Amino acid sequence: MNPTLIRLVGLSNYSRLADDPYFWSSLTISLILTGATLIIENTLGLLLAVLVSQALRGRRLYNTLIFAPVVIPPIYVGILWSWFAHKDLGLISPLFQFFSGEKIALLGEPFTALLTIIVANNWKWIGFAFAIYLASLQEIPSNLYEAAQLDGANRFRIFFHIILPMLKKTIIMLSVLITAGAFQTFDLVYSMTEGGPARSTEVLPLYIYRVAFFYYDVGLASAMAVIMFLITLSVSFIYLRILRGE
Amino acid sequence: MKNPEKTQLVIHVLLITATVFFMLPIAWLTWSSFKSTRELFEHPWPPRDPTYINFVNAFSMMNFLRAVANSLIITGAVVVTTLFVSALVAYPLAVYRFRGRSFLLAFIMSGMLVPSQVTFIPLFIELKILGLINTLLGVILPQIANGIPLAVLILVPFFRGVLREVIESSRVDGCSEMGILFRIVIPLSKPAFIFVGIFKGILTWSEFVIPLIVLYNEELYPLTLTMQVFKQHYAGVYWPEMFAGLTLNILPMLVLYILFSTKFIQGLTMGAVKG
Repeated sequence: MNPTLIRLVGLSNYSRLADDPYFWSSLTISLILTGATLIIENTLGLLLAVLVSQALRGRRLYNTLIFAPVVIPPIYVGILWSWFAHKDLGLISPLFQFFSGEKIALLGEPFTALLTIIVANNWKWIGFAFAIYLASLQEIPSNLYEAAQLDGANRFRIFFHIILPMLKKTIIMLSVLITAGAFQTFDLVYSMTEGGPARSTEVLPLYIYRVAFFYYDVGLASAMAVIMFLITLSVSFIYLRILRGE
Repeated sequence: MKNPEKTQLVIHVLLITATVFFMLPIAWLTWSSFKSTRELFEHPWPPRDPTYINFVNAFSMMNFLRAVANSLIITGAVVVTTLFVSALVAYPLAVYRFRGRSFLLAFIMSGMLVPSQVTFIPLFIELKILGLINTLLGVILPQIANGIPLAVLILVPFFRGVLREVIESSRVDGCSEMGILFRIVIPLSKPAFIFVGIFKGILTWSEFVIPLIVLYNEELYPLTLTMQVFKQHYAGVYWPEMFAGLTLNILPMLVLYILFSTKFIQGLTMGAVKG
């Protein structure tokens, strides 16, 4: 990486990129991870927030414990879950054995490895969505619920016709944060699988890192980084348009 | 609602299930780190024959104190400098009117849209030219730069909230601009500083990739990198020590968090909901 030896190559890095199967596979894996996290974190975060807001007792305790994984650095979450999912040491394997009779190496198979990464990532971040939803729920004036109840609306109608529309801004803002965060997931995958088995969990940031710092192909890595930037940028614009469109 | 007691029961069953899901990996890690290798492989449940020797070994094998010191130096320097520089940036943007102000603000904000992976290659080249590869300064400076956009975004509205009359009258009393910033505006914006400080503090303490790229001398590694290297070195051999090492990394943080949790969550969500 000698900055004095710059040679202009036009768009050749981008055409190489288009022919690179690992670029496409890592992009796909990143998109799957992002999509799954977006759905799971939003749904479960909101569900838990609604439950806690309706609980009469123990609110503060639930609050503290559900949010706790958020403060654990992602690299530790990755190490922790790689052991938790370990065939002989972990706790998931014996639970699985109880039902199916066999121990399972979750990180040894492509499908279950990606699934475990998605679960670990959500384990860390659901508490964040939860806390923000809970704070937004508390901003909704309570006389709104009371009026709806007097009008005979049931719980589900109150949720879908009153709570959900009031949370629109929060949902969009949170989705921007989740998308940006999940798309950039690196530490967690690095410490859980390093992209394996057989590159089945190699997310785009991990591939960029590998190409730049192990293959020393700075041109190709930079081209991928630019593509990544463009994707993040366009997703942010889409969310902004939705927010302004109301 | 109909049958409120039954509803409460359902709510608590669901919430307790969720809490178990969030706590079980941490609990399992903690009790496992008190086990011998033999017991680790025998069963995943709490130890029958707990031993604390794993912690003693992990402590010296990881050179834990040195790693803690590195992490403290990096985090402290990053948080303090980020707050200081961001306050200097946010003050004119919030208080003065001048041409190009909104462009400048938008320009600083756009830094938040750039995924960190995009910056790693140019960052590495830049640090190499500056001779900062394998120095703590090389780990500290990029993280300050990363932190400024969010800090400015949070500080500007707070600074704007300080009444104009207060600022004007201090000026009439002969207070310098720096004096106004440090004696009046900053003390009145304390919640914003606490929020940015905690948020940036956690991010810096958790940072893994920047030290991974910048440092190659183990003596300079922060905790995150030390733990990962420890895991890679001894994978499959020193299991009890690795479990104890991870517990040493995670548990003190969690205890600290639980002690201050109410204020902590309030502080973190305040910025997000209002912002």
